[in-house]
Amino acid sequence: MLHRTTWVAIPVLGLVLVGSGLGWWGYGQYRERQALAVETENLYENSFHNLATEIDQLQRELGKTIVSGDANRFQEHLRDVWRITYAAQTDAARLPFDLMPMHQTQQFLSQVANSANDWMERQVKPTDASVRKKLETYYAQAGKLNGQLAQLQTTVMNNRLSWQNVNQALRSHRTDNQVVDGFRKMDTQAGTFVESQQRVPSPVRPDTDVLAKQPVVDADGARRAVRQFLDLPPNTALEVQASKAGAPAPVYSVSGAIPAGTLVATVSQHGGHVLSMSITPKGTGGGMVDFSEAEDKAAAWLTAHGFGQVENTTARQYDGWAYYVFVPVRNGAQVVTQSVMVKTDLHTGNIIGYDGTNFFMHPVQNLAPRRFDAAQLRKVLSPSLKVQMQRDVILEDPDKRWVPAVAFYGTANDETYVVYINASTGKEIEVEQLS
Amino acid sequence: MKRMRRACVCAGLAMALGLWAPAAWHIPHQPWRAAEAFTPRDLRYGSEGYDVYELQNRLAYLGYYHGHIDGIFGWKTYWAVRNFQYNFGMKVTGIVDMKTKMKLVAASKGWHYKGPLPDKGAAAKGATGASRTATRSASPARMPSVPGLSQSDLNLLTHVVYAEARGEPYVGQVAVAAVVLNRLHDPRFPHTIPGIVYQPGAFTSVQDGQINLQPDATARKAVLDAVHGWDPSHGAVYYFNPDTATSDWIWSRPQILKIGKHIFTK
Repeated sequence: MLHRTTWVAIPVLGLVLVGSGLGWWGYGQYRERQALAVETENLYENSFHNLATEIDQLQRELGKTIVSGDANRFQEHLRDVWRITYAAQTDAARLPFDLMPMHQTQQFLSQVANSANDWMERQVKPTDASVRKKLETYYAQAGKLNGQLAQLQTTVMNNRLSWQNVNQALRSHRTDNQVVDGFRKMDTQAGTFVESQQRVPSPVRPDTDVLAKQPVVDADGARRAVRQFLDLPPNTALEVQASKAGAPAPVYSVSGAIPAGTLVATVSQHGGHVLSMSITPKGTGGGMVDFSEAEDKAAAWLTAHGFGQVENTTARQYDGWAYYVFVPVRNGAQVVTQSVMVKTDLHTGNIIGYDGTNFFMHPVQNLAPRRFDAAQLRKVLSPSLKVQMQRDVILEDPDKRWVPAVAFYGTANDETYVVYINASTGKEIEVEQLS
Repeated sequence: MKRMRRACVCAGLAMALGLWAPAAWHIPHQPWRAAEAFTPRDLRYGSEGYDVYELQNRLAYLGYYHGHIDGIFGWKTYWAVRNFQYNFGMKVTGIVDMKTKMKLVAASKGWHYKGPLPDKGAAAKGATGASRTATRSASPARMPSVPGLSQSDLNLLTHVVYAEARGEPYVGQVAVAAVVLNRLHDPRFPHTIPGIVYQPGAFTSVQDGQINLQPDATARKAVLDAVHGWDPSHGAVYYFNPDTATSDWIWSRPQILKIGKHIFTK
């Protein structure tokens, strides 16, 4: 009798044990998941609320700036405006990406930040009428954003809406969600008051098609250009793909198999210039050519390809590949905006990459006259910079004007910097940290 | 010391022979000796290797160089060389040619080479001749420094490229890196590489954790190509895989071109 009960009890007890174990484990998992979900939710909340606070602060600070009449204090206010826009941009970037393209809000913040930065640089006086007008516009726009964010904040808090529910709503393409709607609405409104999109200075990637006036070449023209550029036999098979409407400047992607490896080149549709090319070599070759010699060879290669006299500004190597950056020289001055990159495979000594986009997309136009020499401009420099080298240069400044300048290379804080001083106005253009 | 000078003379002869010289430098497993570590090749900004290591040591010995002795000819080495050339009445070029080497060796007589040799030691990486095996054996995780981007930025970029495009053709990998860099210049996106990469929902590989996979040398090269200006995406700030894209919005973006499986858009 007893032993029969035991026989029944053992599996039952076992089942109960396993079951409760599973339950305990499952509950633990559930708890963990909940904790994680909460954590994520908190991160979103944090960013969202921070953003709301910062827009509020921004509006107030803009107000104070408008009221301020003291030239020094005015600058301090501008600095605070800039600081707040920076923080707000950081928080806006933390909010779900596909949920609400906060792009236009970001754009607004970026515009205010750039203006504030520009005004601080130029040390504008609080009496400047155009500055005041712009400040007032920004104040009104910040006010609008502020009101909408506050409203949304109330909706979110009163209805206990969770950002993850919002994410879920988005995934299932539901649009009746209040938070989603709130943000969509705000985004369109922000879009309406960004009048002119400010361009971020990017010497590397031009976004206007300066070649637009040059004659258009067809796919065959692109093939011919690449064959000529790389000295390929005329029967080399090359595939051509034209860029679609989204490209900032219409180009052809020319690709094919050539003896050196797999080639991909970019040819401008206007003018048929080979803007860049890259060859993925088949193997890693036998020997190892000298880094220094390869640099001279790369410079000669550029000169032979119509870039004129060039000077090296930087060189790097990684895993058997060498990257050399050159700038063309014009009347003794380096045209730094037109930097051209050449990549050499040190295993074979072959040139396997080139990018001359800057050269073609940034033609020198309306160059201002050179009024100051290096000795005069040296006075503008901070005494903490130990000047090691100076060089006459021409460059396109952040406002897209071509200006003559002197590049002062120097060391400070144990780092190497280059300071560009405008040789036409005597003002500092920018400081770059090189090391 | 005599040995060193003999090495220099030999090298001078080799140079005089012009075409013959490069062949001579590539003889594998040449019986290098410590004092002959300086190679006949010129050294300049960007050079790497055990001879740069020697250069830095000699310059440090003379008080011109105060940086790390790492075998990489960077800005600090460059300024040290220029100052050395200036003080010794030479033409200030920043390039270590045979003349500069002779002057440097003569000036730093008290210093003896104890560093890595071409056929062993980590600093030999990237140097003439012996470097081939060194660079091939391991994929060096350290990437050359690029102004404006930190090592962690570069590292994060390689992780994104590997996680997002490891099955793609090389040009497609460069394009993914270029998209991140294009976002850096676009006011609609965060202003830092981590900000862009970790922007919620921006990259699927961040969401599903693939970003943590260890990238390979190809991904690193793709990132370097992109930071040196190659943009096969032609200014794109988005890309998507048409087979797996779930967002309708992405289809509304003006397209630029297709590379591998990805469509790149404005």
